[in-house]
This record gives sequence, structure tokens and C-alpha cells, in this order.
Amino acid sequence: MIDAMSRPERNLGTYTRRSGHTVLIETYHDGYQVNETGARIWSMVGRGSSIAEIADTITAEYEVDPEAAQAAIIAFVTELVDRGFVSES
Amino acid sequence: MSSDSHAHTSGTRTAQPRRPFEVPAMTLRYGSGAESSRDNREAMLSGRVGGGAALPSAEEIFGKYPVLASALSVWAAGSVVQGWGHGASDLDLYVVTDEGLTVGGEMESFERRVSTDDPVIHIVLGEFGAFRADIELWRQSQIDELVQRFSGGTRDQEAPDLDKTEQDLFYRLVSGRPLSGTEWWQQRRTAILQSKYGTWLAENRKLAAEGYLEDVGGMLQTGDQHSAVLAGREAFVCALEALLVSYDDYSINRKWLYRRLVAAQPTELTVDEGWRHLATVGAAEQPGEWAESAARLAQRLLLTVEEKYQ
Repeated sequence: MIDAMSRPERNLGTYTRRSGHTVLIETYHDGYQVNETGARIWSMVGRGSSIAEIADTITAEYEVDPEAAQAAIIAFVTELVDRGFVSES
Repeated sequence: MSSDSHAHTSGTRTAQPRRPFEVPAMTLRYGSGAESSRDNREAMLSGRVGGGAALPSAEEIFGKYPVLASALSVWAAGSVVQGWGHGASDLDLYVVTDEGLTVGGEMESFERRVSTDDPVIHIVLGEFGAFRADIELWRQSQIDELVQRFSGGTRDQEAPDLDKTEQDLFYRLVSGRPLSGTEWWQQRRTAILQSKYGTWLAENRKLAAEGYLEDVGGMLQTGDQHSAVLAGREAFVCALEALLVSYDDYSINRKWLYRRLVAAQPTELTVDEGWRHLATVGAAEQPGEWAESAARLAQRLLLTVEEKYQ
């Protein structure tokens, strides 16, 4: 279960493709387009940062309060785990 | 450290105004979304590895892509066919037709340039069972043109280079498993094996190895032992590739070199000795000695290749 202290790692076998402003992330069979905020979070996943640290960065860059940012990131990373893109360290 | 440089290294962008926040989201763009749960992923994985892996039949392929039903031959190739497949392996399928096919509609595909008079092939991205599949569509005239380059009086390096796609085609035709049009496949397989392609490929790899051997000698003379190790490994790899060609292994895929060595079991090199050089065992401790040893082994292998292709 992803929480503020989780430090998610990207799974081996995930691809990130950028075309202009479009970012696609892919597993063996499936490819997903992520929106701008999702792409920014994805860029920070796997660098050793905790969810709380990612939330600090997002809060500094976006018009969002820390609690809402952290909740949205936990939900997004949980979806990344469900779909096979990342694992909890 | 200044506050500015700290902000830069931590990835924050404090100098910029905060942007409107949009809830992070992801939208399925292709694929079925079948991997969206752990249970599904594990079930599909078990369909790709171990006893669960099964190749599609030609009927299954034609049923999914009716436009391919006019194929002269269909074969499967690559790691799955070799028995080396793993959970992330693609299924490599080849389809040969007499006329060019119109690829479109629901077939997701892309084009690739090749060196034949008809300079384009199509690669369809498909799925069969648990496998992701790359389906290369070639015309018979393209393949025959490539084989023709190495027939008759073609000598060694005088044939025009084949690019990676074309070399893969030859390897995968020779090592593949026909799913339909077996007679067509068998005829071309025999033609490739009886052509000068093997001679050309062995010579090509041998020349590359000799180039690296020259580098090793120069580097050791100037005391650049670390570079000599890297050049020595390259020389050994190229020499091993040349040797494997003489065992009808035309692959150019280096990630499988250990598997290929085990499969070929060449009399000139034990698997253990080959692996120790591929893995550069001992190079960190004694780089100069290792580079010299790898270079001498590569040289020895090249002499046997020279003898075979005299």
C-alpha cells in the first residue's frame, strides 16, 4: 500500500516515450498516455524520492495545497502499481 | 551551496510561477488494458514462459489478419522458437507474399526501409494469446533479391552490405519454424545456407575482430590497459561471432551469445572459457594480462575461421 513514506521504483520493462508534449508509458502489452501533471510525477518516480518528497516538489510547482497534492500522488502511484509500472520499495 | 543551486539540483522550479494543478491521470492509448491487474499480468506471463507458451497456428494468424491469407509462407522465429523466451519476449513472425499488401484499417503498423529495389517492408504490431508479436511483411521478390546477392560468383566482401533488418531476416529464416508454406521456406533456407552469405558474414566479423586486435596491440604498447580490455572484449566477441557463423549460426544478436555458444558447442572453445571472456573475468584485477589473453584467444579462433573458409 502506497503511503507518504513509500519510495516507489519503476519496474523493469516499462518504457517512456515522449513525442512533443505527449508522454506515453508502456508495459508489455499496454500503453497509456499520462497528462501533464502525471508526466511530471512519473519523471520523479524511481529516483529514490518518497511520495512526501514528490508532493513537496509538486506543491512548489503547482497551485495545490500539500494535503491535496499528496492524496492525488498516492492515488496516481497506486494506479501505477496496479497497472504494473512501479513497485513499492 | 547557494539556495539557487540547491533548488536546481533538487529538481524544484521555484523561480517559475506555480501552474494550475490538474489531477494526475492516465488514459489507455493502445493495448487491451489486460495488464491492468496483477492477476491478469501473472496469467499472461505464464502463457509466455514455461510449458504454457504456444505458437499461433497459421489459421489463427490468417483469421485475425485475413489480408495475410495469400501468404506464400509464414514462419516464427527468435527467442521463443529457440526455447530461450522469457516473460518479456516478443514473438517474431515473418509473412512472405507475392504481391505487396495494403496494410491499414485496424492493423497497427509501421514501415521500415530496406536496401532492395522495392525499398519498404511493413511491420505489423499484433498480439496472439499472451504474446506481443512483430509481424514482418516481406515480398518474395525482396527476399530473392537479397539471396541473389550472395549466389554465384559473389566473393567475400564484394556483396553490398545487408542492414540489420536484412541480416535478421536471413538468421530468422534459417533458424525459424514454418507455420505455413513449408516448401517455400525450405527452398529459401537451403538457398541461404548454400549461398556465400555465411562466408561473407564470417569474413565481415573476422575483419571487425582484426580491427580490434590491432587496437589492443597499440593500446598495450602505450600502456592504456583499460581501453585494451574493452577492445579485447570486442575482438573476442567478433571472433566468437565469426566462429559461430561456421556452425550455421547467423545471428547478430549479442545478448544471446552465451545461449548461442551453448547451442553450437564449438570444438574450438569450451563454454566455460567462452563465458569467462564474455564476462571479462579477471580483467579488473589484471587488465593488461586479460587484454593480451583475450586477444590471443580471439586470434586463435580467427585462424580456425580462416581455415574453414579457405
